[in-house]
Amino acid sequence: MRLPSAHDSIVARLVADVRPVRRLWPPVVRLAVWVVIAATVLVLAARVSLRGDVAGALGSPRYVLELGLLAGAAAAAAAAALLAAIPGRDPRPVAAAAALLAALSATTFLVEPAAPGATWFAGFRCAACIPMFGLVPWLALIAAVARGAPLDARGAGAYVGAAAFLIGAAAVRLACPVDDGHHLLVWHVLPVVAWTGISVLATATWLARRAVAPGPARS
Amino acid sequence: MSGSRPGRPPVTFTASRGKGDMDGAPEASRRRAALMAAAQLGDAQSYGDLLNDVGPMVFAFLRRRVRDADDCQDAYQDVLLALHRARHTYDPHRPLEPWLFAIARYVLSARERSARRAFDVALAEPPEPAVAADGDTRVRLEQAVRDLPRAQREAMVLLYVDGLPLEAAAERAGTTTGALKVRAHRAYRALRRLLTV
Repeated sequence: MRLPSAHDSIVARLVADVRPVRRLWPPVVRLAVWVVIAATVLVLAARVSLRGDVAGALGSPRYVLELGLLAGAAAAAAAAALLAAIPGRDPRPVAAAAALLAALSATTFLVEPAAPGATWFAGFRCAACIPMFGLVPWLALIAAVARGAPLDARGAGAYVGAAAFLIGAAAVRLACPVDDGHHLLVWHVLPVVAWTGISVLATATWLARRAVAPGPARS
Repeated sequence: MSGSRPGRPPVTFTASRGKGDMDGAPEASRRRAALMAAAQLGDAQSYGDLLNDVGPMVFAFLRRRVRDADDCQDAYQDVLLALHRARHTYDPHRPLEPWLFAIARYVLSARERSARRAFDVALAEPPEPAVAADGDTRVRLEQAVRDLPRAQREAMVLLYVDGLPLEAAAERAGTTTGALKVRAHRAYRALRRLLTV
């Protein structure tokens, strides 16, 4: 196979520029670091919880299942984001698992019985707290993904947003004293969807600027 | 570039041992993984060997997908540059080829997207007021149009001289609207480059 005429010159240029690089840690290790950050946020949320019965609620299988599904979905989405930052790794199976866990979590909210305390004020408070609790995991995951080479910036943005704000939702579930099903669906689930959409826009733009291939218009 | 330097320790193919993902991989694949692992540590000789080794493979991949020879060469350079920028993301315990071709596919789609976007912008811009070209400019323009590859010249003429709508021009050229947009954008860029020198 005849190579392009520029082959030798470009190889010479790249070889002259080669320096030792710090390899990415394996995705499992990077995920473990992120999980530690996310767990810290959850512990903090439990400490500042407005519900006086956190310890008691943790004895309820349904409550633990809800938290477990949210945390599991977040971890799977984070794994998808980290895989999306490595060329040739397919994040879609893990992302599908994250979507399934998130859907199951929303279903458990659906079957929650009506409960007192579901005011508009409580709703706005929960919706506002989700991005607050999700901010640090979001920044940490963005930094981890940007260290790699995400080829699908929008997909990576969606996975990052879903992971971070699902952790935000899990944290708010720990802190929120309202167990009403409608409250949980409207003020806990919808903000996660909205903030994930915002994350796609914000992250995709930023990651696209750091793309490994400039394309002809920017060359 | 591809020869071994006297006195240089040989690259050993042990990067995949014990991890499972490279078990059963062809020797050539294991060799590439080992070369890239050495390149990540800053070994220029291994990096040169690797680029010379994967070059024909990448170029063949691009030739099957990019018809225009000039564009194929540009895409080839972009792929090697992207490989260089993303080399820290390669895991030597895995085969190099899926990583490499994911980058190549991404470069192709990024180039296509970028060309289409730029062409759409160019179409949306109002035409510049006509200016009387002096003799020298006219000669340079005619020469530049003549120097365009046939497909690009055809796209330019159908869209800008004949003024055909995109669909009609694509049908006349026997191609898709997307491909015609890309050709016309390349022609536009080539002319701009030639006339602004």
